[in-house]
Amino acid sequence: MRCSVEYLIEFSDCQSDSSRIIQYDTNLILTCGDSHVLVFHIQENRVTTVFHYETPVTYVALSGDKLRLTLYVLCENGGLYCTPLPPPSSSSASVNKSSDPVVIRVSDDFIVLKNISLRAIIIVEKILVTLSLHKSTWSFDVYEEPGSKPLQKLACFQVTTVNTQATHNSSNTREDVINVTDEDKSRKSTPVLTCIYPAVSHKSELHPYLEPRLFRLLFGVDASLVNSPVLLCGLPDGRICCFPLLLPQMDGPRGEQRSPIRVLQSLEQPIVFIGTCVSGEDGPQCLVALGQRGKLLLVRSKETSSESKEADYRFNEHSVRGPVLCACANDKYLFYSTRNDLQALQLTKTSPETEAATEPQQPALSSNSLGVCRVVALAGPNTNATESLKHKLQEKNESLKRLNQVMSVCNLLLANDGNDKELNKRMQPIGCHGVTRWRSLLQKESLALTCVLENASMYTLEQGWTLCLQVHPSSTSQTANTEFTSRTYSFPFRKLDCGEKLDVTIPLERVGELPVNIYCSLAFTLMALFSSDESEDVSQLLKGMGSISVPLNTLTVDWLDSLRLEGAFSPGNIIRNKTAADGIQVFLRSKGVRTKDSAIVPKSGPLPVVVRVSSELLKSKLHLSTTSGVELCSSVLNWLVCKETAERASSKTQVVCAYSPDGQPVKLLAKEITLEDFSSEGPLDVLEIRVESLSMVAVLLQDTTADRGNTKLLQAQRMCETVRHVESLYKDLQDAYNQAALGGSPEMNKTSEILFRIFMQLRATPLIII
Amino acid sequence: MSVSPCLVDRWSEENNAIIVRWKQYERELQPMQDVRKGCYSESFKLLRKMQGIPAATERLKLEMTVSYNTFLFSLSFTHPSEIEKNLTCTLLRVLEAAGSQVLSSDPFKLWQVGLQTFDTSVYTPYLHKLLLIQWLLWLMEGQLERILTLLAQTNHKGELLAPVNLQTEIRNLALSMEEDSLLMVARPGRDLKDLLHICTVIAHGVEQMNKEKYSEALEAFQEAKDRPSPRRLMAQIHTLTGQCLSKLDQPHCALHFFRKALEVDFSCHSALYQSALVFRKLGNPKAEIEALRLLYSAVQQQSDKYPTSASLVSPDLLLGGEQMTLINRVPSSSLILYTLAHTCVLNGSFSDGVEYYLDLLASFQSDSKDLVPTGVGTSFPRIPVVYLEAGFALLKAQKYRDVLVICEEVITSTLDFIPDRLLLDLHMENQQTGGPTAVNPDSDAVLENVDFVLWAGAAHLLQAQTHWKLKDTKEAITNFTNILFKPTDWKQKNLGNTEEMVKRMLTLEAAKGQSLAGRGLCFLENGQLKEALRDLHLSLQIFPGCRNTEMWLTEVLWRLDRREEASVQWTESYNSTDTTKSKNLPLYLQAWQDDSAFDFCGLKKKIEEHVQAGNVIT
Repeated sequence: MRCSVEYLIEFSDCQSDSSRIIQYDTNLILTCGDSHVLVFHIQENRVTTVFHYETPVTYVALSGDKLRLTLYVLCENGGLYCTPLPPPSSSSASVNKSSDPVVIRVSDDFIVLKNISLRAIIIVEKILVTLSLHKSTWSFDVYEEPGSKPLQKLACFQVTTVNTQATHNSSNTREDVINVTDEDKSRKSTPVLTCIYPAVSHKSELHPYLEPRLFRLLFGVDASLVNSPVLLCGLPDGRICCFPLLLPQMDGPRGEQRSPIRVLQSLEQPIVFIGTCVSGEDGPQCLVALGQRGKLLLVRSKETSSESKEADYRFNEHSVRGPVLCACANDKYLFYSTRNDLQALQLTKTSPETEAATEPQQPALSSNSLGVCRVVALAGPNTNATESLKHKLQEKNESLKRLNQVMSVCNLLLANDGNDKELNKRMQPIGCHGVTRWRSLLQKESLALTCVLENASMYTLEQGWTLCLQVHPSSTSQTANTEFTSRTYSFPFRKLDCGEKLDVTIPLERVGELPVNIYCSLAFTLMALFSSDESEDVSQLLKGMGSISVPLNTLTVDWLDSLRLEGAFSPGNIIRNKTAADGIQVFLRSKGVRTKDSAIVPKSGPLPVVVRVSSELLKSKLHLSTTSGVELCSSVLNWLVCKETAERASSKTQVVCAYSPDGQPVKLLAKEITLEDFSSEGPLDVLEIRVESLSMVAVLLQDTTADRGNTKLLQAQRMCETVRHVESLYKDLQDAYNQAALGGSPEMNKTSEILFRIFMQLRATPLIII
Repeated sequence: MSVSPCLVDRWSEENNAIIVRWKQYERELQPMQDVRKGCYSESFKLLRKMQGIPAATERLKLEMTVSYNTFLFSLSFTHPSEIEKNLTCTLLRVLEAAGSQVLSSDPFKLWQVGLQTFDTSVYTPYLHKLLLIQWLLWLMEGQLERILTLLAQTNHKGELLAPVNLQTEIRNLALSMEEDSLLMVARPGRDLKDLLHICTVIAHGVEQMNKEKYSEALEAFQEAKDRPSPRRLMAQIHTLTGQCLSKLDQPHCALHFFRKALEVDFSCHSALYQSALVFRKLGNPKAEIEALRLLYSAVQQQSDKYPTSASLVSPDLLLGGEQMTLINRVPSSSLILYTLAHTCVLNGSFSDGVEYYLDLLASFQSDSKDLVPTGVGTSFPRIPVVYLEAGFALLKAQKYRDVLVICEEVITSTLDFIPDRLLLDLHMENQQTGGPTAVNPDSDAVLENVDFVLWAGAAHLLQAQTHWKLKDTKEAITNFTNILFKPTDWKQKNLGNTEEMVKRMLTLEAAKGQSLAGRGLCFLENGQLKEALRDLHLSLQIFPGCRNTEMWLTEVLWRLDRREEASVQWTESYNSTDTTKSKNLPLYLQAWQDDSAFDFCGLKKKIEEHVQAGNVIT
C-alpha cells in the first residue's frame, strides 16, 4: 500500500521526543522541540499564529470546547503556561488582511504552575492533571482548571518508580534501538497520558472512549456507574497505570484505605501510545498500547456467548517492528512510525485473538507500509471523531428540519398578511379569536379575555413557539390622558398539532381603558432549534437576539364586550364588592357631606345615545337574510352583545338590558325607521340603536363603540345644518373653556356640568352610518 | 561614591506611592490579584535598583523597609523557600553595611550577629520587621522548633540559650515596633506580630493535638482565644477547642464550643461537621441530620467561590500546613450528602432520605470536581451499595417504579462480574489446602467477587419485594428465585477463612433466607401451601431466628391442618426473640423485617383456642 503524501510545510530539524501535533477543527497545533508552538490552518495551508515561549516546549495540551480553547504548554523551565487560543473563525477572517502569522510572546505572567519536575499534563472536564517525577516518585497532581489563580489542588497520588535496569539489559543489547542507557531513557522519554471515557458524550470530544462493557470490565463497576473518565498513564518504565478521575475515594474489600491508582499492565519498555480502536456498535472495542520497541498490547472483551466467565477480557501482546517513534489509531487502523516508515496495522475484533489462542508465542503482526519516512509526531484522529461527527450531523439535520418548519409557518402567515383583511380573517390558517368573560377571583370581579389560538394549517407548531398578546388602547387620544401603557403577555407552548387549539386567558384589569386592541403574534426562539445537549456550540451566538416574531390578527375588546347581560349577573354583587373608598363616600353622604364627584352627573334620568346605521349595510355585513324589521333588530342586538351571528338568536327582543362594568343598568334598544329626507337617492331605511344608561361612563364609552363603515353622499342642506349646529356648540365649548380658565377652582363643578351638557347636545344629533 | 540625598528621597517616595496604592485597594476589597502583583513587581524593581549600589548605613532604613514590603507582597507569588533565600541575602547586605562580616549563611548565626550588631540602635525596629518575616516564613512551613529558637535568641539579645516554652517566649517577646511615618509599610509591624503570635500558638496547639496531647492543646487554644483575632480565625479556635474537648470525652462542652464557633462565623464548616460527629456519638440522630443538612447546604453554596482574602497576610496563608488542613478537613459534598441520606434512612425519615439519595445519584453525573478522589480522608462506600441503599429508601418511600429501575442498573452492571465457578473454586481451595491448620487468606479478587454476588442478589431481592408490594406475585417469585439460583449452588460447609469473608457469607445467607421466606409468602398468597411450607422451612434453616418467618410458618402449618405442629411452632417462636436484628445487616437488607410483619392476633387466638381445646380433650 502506498499513498500520496502532500507536504504542507517544511520544518527544519525536529526532535522526536518533544514533537507534538494536536488537531482541532481545521487547525493543527505543532511543536518541534524548540520554543515555539505553531497554529497551522489546514485549508489555508499556512501558519496563522505562533506562540513564542522563553524556553523550549516539552509538552502541549488543549482544553475547552470549540469556542473557547485553551492551550497549555509545558516548557523546559518547568513553567506551565496557559493561554487562550484564538477561535478558528477569527483566524480565517484575518486571512484577507495579511498572510503573516500572528506572533504572540508568552510571558511569565501566563505561568499557572511552576515545577521543574513536571513531565506531562492533561486536562479533562476542567480538571488539570499533572505528572511529575521527583527523585524516585511519580506524582499525579489533580488541580481545578485555572479559571482563577492560584491553582486549587484537589488531590495527589504517587507511584514509585521501579528499577527496571536488570530486566532491560538483555533486550537492550538485542535490539539496541536507542543509544542511551535505560536510566537516561526513562528520564528522557515522555510519559503518555490518555483519558478514556465510558461512553461517547459531548464532554469527551478531545478524548477517546471505550464501549461500556469493556470499560466496566477493565475499570470497575463503580467508575462505570458514575460515568467517570479513567486516566491512563504510560510510564517510561513500561507500566500502564490507571485511576478513575471522578470517583470518590473508596476502601478496599477489607475496609483498608487504598490508592485509586492501579497498574494495568507493564510493557517493560517506554510507552509511546495509548488509545482505543476497532469501532463496534457501542464504541471502540479495543484498548491499544504501544511500546517504543514495538510491543503492542491489545485489550478486548470476550464474546458474551463464551461459556467460561472467569475473565471476560483478554490482554493480548503482540509485537511490531520497532523502534516506534509515535502512533495513533482510528476506528480500524493503528498507525505507527518507525524511523524509516509509517505503518498502518489493521486491527479487528477477533482475528488476532484466535491466533493467539493457538500460538503460544507473541504473534508478530504484519502491517502495511505507507511509504512515509521519518514521521516523528502523529495527530490522532480520535476514534470517536466519526461517532461524534455522526451525532453532530444528526443534530444539525434535526435543527435544519426544525428551522424549515419554522420558515414554512412564517411564510404561510406572511403570505396571508398582504391580502384583503376580510378574506384574511376567514382564511387565516393560524389565528386567534377571543371571548370576554367576567370572572370572580377572591371576591373580586374582573374582566378576562380568553384567546383561542387555532392551528388550521398543515404544519405542527413545535416547541419553541410562543403566543404573544399585546394589549394596547385603540384610540391614541385616550392614552394621552390616562397613563395606560401597553402590556404584553407571552405564552410559550410545547406543541400545537394541526387542528389543535390553545386556550389562554388574560386579564383586562381596568375597564376604563376600553376599548383595547389585542395584537396577537407568534414568536419563535431560535434557541429551540438546538437540542439541549449540543447547545454549547452555535447557540452561544444567539444570545439576546435569537427570536422570530410573526404577526397574527388583531382583536378588539370594546365597551360592549364588557357588558353583563341581565340574568347572568345581579347588580348586588357589585355593590357588595365596592371598594373601601366607596364605603367612605357612602358614610360621608350619610353625614350630609357633599362629595365632589357625585355632583357632576345631572340627575335627569337615563342618558340616551343614538346611532343610526343603514339597514342594507347591516344586512350585507352580517349576512342576514331576514326582511322583517323586528327580526333584524333582535339579530343586530344579539350580534352587538353576544358577538354571535344573529340568525341563531333565540329571543326576538328589541330591547337588551344589561349592566355596565360599574353595576349601572344599561338598556340597548333597536328599532327600524325610515329617513325620508336624508339622502338624495330617496328614503333610507336605518336601524336606530339607542343606548340608555344612568352611568355617565357608559355614555362616554359608548362614544367609541360605533365607528365602522363608509359614508355616502349626504344631502348638502342637511349637512350644512349639522355643521352650523356643531359650530354653535363649539362656541359654547369655547366659552366654557374661557370661563374655566378665568374662574378658577370653585367653578369646577359648574364647568363640568356645562361641558357635559355640550357633549349631550352634540350627541343628540344622531350619527348616521350608511 | 556617594549618592545624592535626593535619590534616597525619590526612592522613599516611590516606596510610599506603592504603599498608598496598595492601601487604597485594600480598603476597597476588590479582587486584588492584579494590584497585588503590580505592587509586588514595582516594589521588587525598586529593591533591585537600590541593591545595585553598595549597601550603606544612610540608606539602610529605606532598604530594610522596601525589603519588608517586597517580602510581604511576594507571599502569594513566590515559594517560601525562595523568599527565605532572598531574606538571607538582605540580611547579609544589612550586616555588610554595618561593617560586620558573617561567613555562614545559617539563619540563626545571621540573626545572632544581626541582633547583636543593631542592638538598641535606630535600626532595631527595621531589623525586627525583617525578623517577623523570618518568623512568618517558618510558620508557613510549620517549623515551630526553629521559631522557638529564633524568638528565644531575640529575647536574650542574640544569645543562643536553651529555649523554654514557645508560649512563654512569645509572651515575653519585646520587639520594638515603632513606625516611621516617612517610610510607609504594607502592613504595620505590630499588626503582623499579633497575627503571628496567635497563629503560632494555634499551630502549636494543632501539633499537640496530632501528638494526642489534648490537654496541652487546649491550653494553647485557650491562650489564642484570649487574644483579639479575625472572625474566621476565632471560629477556627473555637472549633479546635471543641475537638479537643470531644477527644477528652466532654461532648457537651465540645458542642458548646462548636456552637460558639458558628455564632462567630457561620461559614465555619468544620464546626458543623464536628458537631454532627459528636451528635452521632451521643446517639442523637435528629440533631445529627440537622447538622449534616446545614453543612451540606453551606458546602453547596460555598463550593464555587473561593474567598480570596483581602489582606496581604491571612491566617489561611500562615496556617495552610498539612496538619492544619487535615484537622479542619470537611468531607467532600458528595460524601456529606451520602452520610445525610444514609442517616436519614437509617432513622426512618425515608422521604428525605430518598431526596438526598436521588440528589447524590444526580451529582455523580454532573459535579465533576467534587468527585475527584482525594486519596486521604473518609472513604466513600462502593457505588453499587449507594445504588442499593437508594433502592431501599425508594422502596420504603413506596416509589416502586424507581426501585425497579435503580436495581436493574445494579444487576446489569454486576452481571459480567458474577462468576459461575468462583465459589466452587473457593470450596476446592479449602479442600486442597485441607487441614484445619492451613489458613488460606481469601484474596481480594475473591472477596470482590462475593461482593458482586451479594449486590446482584440484594438488587433482585429489592426488586422482588417491590413486585410483592405491587401485588405481582409472579414477578416476585421470579426475582426471589433469581437470588437463589443466579450464583452456582452454594453448599460449602466453611463460610470462609477470614473475618471479611465470613461477614459477607452471613450477609449473603441472610439475603437468601429473606428471599426464600419471601417466595414462601408468595406461594402462600397463591394458595400453594406445600411450596410455601418448603420455602419457609428452608429459609429458617439458612437464616434462623427470624420471628416473622416462624410466625408465617405457623400460619401455613395451620392452614395445612397440621395443628399440632402449628401449636408447637407457635409456642417456640412466641417465646423466642427475634435475633435477626443483631446480625448487623447492611441497610439495604433491612426491608424484610418490617415488610413481612405479621398480624399475630388472629393466629394467636386460633392457636390458643386449639391448645385449650386440646387440653380439654386430654
